[in-house]
Amino acid sequence: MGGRRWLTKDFFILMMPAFILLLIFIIYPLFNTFYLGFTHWDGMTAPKFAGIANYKEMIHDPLFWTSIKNNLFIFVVFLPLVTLIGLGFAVLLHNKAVFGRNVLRGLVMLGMVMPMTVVGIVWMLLLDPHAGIVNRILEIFGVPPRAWIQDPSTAIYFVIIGSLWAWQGFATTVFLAGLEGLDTEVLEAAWIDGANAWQRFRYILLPLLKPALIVVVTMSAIYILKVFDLIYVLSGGESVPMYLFVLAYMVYYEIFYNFRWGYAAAIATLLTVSVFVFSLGMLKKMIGERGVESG
Amino acid sequence: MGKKPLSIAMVFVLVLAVVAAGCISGGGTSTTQTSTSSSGQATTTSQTTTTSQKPVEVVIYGQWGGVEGQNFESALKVYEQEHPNVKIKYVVQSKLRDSVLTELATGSPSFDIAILPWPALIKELGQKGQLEPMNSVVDAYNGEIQKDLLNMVTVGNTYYAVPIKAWAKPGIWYNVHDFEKYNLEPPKTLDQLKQDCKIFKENGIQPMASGAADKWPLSDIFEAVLIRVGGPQLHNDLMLHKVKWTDPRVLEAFKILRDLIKEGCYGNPQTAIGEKWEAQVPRLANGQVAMYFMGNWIVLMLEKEGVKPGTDFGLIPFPVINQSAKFAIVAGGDWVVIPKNAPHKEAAMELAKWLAGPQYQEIMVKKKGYLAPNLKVPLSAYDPTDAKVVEWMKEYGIVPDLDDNAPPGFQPIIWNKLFEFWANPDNYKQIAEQLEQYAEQYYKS
Repeated sequence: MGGRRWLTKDFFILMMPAFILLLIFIIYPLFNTFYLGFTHWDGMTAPKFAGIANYKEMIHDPLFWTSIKNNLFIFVVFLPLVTLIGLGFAVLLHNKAVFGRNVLRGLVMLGMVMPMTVVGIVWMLLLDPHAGIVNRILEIFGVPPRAWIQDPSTAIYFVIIGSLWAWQGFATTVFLAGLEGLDTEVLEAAWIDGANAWQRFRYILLPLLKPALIVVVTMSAIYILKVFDLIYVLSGGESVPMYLFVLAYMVYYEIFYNFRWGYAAAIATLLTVSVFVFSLGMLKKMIGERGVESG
Repeated sequence: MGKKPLSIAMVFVLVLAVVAAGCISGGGTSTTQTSTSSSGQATTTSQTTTTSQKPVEVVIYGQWGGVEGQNFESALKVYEQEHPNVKIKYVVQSKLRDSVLTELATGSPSFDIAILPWPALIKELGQKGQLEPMNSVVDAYNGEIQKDLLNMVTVGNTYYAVPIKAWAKPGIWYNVHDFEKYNLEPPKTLDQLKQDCKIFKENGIQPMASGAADKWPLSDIFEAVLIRVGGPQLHNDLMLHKVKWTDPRVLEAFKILRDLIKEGCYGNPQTAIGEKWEAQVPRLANGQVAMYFMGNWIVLMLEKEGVKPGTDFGLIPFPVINQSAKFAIVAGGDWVVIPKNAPHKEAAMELAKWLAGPQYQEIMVKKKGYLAPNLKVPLSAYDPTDAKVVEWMKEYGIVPDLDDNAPPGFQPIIWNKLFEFWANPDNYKQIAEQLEQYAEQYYKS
């Protein structure tokens, strides 16, 4: 009863500017991209309706499958790692006994405040085969220098490491906020009842951090599914090697090298749908959790 | 009260948003319409400004930065002094291809001239009706402009661009002191090259640099070897896909490079693929690297490092591999294009005419590292190193750059596959097969 009392005239008037911008810059381009995915368009002459030809072509396109494979690999490795590292840092930095924890908190966030292009350039300098500090340090331990980010056998791992470095600040922040909001009495009660550190973490802390966990997983998944900038910069900007192709780069490649805006729109649609489906699933879960909590 | 104004407000928002969104998409989807109106408007503006003496601002997009960009801007000042009605704004676009294509797709580009180094892209844009034909500029110079460079951007009888700069990839630049120190002669044959490499390697000097991390220099090295294996004919045939990437002569070129890479001529294979091309210039200047295959633009960069041509560095053609194969130099250029919907087309055309002429090109040639496509520029205007390159071009003849003239989508594939080859040279047969598969796809379309 009265659940939508906030839908007043003032609400709509105040929301109007945001709504107009949303419509112009998000909703319209979204639907236009969806439409262009069903056309053959070179970006210069008028688009021609092509039905599902672009989607059919994807099935036979080896570059598309390479991109899917890379996206999945990065996703599967990155997601658990960023969650675990973020959680680990958060637990560590939540502990008041840790010396200089405020400075450490700042350092952990450093990757997050840097633009991805800067992150890419920093990694390129660090890993330079001749002048990079990483190779110099490894040489001390007898490891010969290597072009880590260019080597086809190691390049993808450095995309993951770079992304982790940049994104774990976000995961740590969310988990820290979750930890700060916890009722410490529950943990103390468990401690008095004789629960060991692992039991307190597994059966008390983790379930209480579930909303934060869902936020971290959802946002990290969205970030990594559309990863582009880091790969672009690490590859020198001119041309990304095929073994590092991801869907977001493929959209760029099809537009600027093959003039296939329609095909690129179809790939972009697929990428958007996959991000949307994943986010929706996670959001549903979060709403479900809230429902259980409030119920 | 309450519901009605609310509904009106909602409808108003929707209509406003749809209209605004429609305006945004209009330029992108209906180029022809925008083209007509926009070009009409542009002409009017240009005429008005001429009569009212208000300067017209001609916007140039290019990717010449650093010393080259400064030289270009100082040359443009000469034009501005001679044409007080024109102001020129040169915008360095680090992502030139992306900027130009995106603005052309909107139907109303904000630039009047773009300096592009991709002839295949120029032809494609011209055929799609995006570029203004430049026949009037070419006709004005009646045979003065280098024909090879004009042919690269010609479709039928239409010139879609005009070259304002030529460059060449004449051969290997070498550090004179490294060779003197070990009593070596600059190599003339493949065996001598391998021998020199061995001695440099034994003495802790990287024999050759590749600039592999940027990928494009690898296609230049590959082309040099290809020409020495099968002459300019094989090079041109592969560029036009008249021969396959799996042709025995092409495989031979791959095999020669495989041996050079594996023998360490390009340094430690595990680090060589991480070397950026610009970072190799100071390494060549200070003797860490003995030889470097690169274009003539390297002269300016080397001189900036404080080394002098002749005394500190020299130039040799790529060593002979097959005695019966004719030699040729890979050359290309930078072309000026004017979009169909350029805001100030008339003023842009006038400026393009000046850029294609001997006055501007002589100014640039005197600043070094710049070769003139206009044949009226005298050889005496050149620096001795540049003059040597020009003479070689005349003596041996030139061939177009293979990857620059391949279909635009195939170019990054060539770079990528050659990079994979550099990382795993033993895979050359597989890489040639993959290149052939892609070539069949791109040349067919």
